[in-house]
Amino acid sequence: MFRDNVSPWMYVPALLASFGAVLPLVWLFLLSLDPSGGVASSGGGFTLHNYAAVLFESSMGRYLFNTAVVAAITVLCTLTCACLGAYATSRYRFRGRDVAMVGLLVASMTPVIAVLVPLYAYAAKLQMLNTYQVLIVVFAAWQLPGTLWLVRSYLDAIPVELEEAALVDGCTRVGAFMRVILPQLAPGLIAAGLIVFVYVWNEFIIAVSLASKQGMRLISVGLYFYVSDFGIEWGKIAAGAIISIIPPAVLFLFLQRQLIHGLGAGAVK
Amino acid sequence: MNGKRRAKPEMPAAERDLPRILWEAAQPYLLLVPAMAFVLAITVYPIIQLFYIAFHSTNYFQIGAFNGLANFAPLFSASGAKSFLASAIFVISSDVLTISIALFLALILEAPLRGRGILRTLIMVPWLVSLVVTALLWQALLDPNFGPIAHFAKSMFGWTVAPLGDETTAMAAMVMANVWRSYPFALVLILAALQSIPSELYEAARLDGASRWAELRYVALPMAGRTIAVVLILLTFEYFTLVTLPFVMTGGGPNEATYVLSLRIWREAFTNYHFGYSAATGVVVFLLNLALSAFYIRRFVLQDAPRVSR
Repeated sequence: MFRDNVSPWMYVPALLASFGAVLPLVWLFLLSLDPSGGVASSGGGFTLHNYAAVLFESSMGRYLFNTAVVAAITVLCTLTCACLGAYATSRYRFRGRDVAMVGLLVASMTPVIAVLVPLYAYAAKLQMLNTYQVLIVVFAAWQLPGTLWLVRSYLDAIPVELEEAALVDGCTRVGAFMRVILPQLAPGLIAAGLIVFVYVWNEFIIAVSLASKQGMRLISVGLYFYVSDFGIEWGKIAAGAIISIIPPAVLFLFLQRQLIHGLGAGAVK
Repeated sequence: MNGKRRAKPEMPAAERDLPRILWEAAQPYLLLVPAMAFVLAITVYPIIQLFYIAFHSTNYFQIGAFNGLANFAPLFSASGAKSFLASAIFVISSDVLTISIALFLALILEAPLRGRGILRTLIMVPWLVSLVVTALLWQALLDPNFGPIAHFAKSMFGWTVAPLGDETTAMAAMVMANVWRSYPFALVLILAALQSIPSELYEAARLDGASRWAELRYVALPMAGRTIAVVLILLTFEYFTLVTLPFVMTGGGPNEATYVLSLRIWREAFTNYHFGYSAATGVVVFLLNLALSAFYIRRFVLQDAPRVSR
């Protein structure tokens, strides 16, 4: 509607929205540098003490490590299973294919909160509470349907002829996938992997229910429990929050385009 | 020579190829096994369990005898009704605000503003922030003692405000934090839909003397309508089953004003140990969600995407 004309008034909402988006985070950042932790308002000076305290005197370092391990393995698991399934539904014609795809879509819409309580009971019975394994399995299962759909949409865009040429030249199906498809699929897989990584990094409710024991927490759970473990010290909580935002922010900066493309493809196409 | 070879007793082609044909036919199913195993074990099986638990008496995490609809009864008490109401208010007001803000900004960001790229990136920032950080951030921003919002209200108007301590404003604050975090997602998708409208349509409208308002009403909205509807549905899914934000930000309070259904599922199980009541609430949330997803899939996925049946 306004694509070919600009009126000065448009800058007002655009600027307001960008300030509204960024200012709370700037304030959080300033709070993390405030020696008094916000208690004495505008009480000059700044310090990195909050960051040092969070990283070295609490278990936050451990939680960052936990999150990185769980996120990395979840990404690998999800992408592997999604590639296999996406390849099957994109390159084979077989009975039940559409049912499988729609079934996965329905599964992906199941609310986490509805299955959390049975999952907890189940994990407790298998003595898997507070382990990396339970988090990885649940996260991977949770991300698989969406990722499979996404990878399949990328696969569908790669011409079958490429593969057929490789098969004629004597490649096996596996060989053709590895040598011909995978290089073409790589950008899509990076986008899909990123979405899964950021999901795990930011996930809270599954993590707090299945692995809330000290030492096994993920970063978001650690942040939540910081208040009860160390008291309400907003300066340190702010520092921890800022630290937790950095990895997804860095990934986003480098891979902004793929990520938006991936989310768009997954949601609307 | 040829004749000789043909004369050799040979297995019929079909029979010889049978193992190969079977292997080919089995391949897609085998490839789907890992994905299906995950989904069956982590989604389908727990859902079946959820239904089982919802209709049985429970004692902590022990499941007892069948007890009909007894677990559903407390949902229809005053406190249960409050959760339905809180969920409805939360979902509807978040939906309305998110879609209107996202649509409005998308229309503006389509204009060739100076510094549009930077503005767009800045507006996207909250998207990166996790729900836990969003909840903690807004808790701090709204803190009556040192939060800038309370500070501002005090110095400007002399008001003492504690938004999270009051029933009405706590819900408003939660909706605000929710919208703050989630409208960038809606904005990206709606902006993409607006940008894909061919310029010719606007030119034709203008030739016919359409006002800006008419352009919005008769070109932009109908053309982007499908995307807006999809975004609305996806947001509704997200908001309706959101636990983290009320969990961290308000804990359901004050006086259960923000005790949405999804939070009730968690708290009844893990805080109050009413396993059956929690499962019954879970069944209700699951069924409402299922109805919406059935509508969504039939209306927007199967109908418009021939890809599924390609």
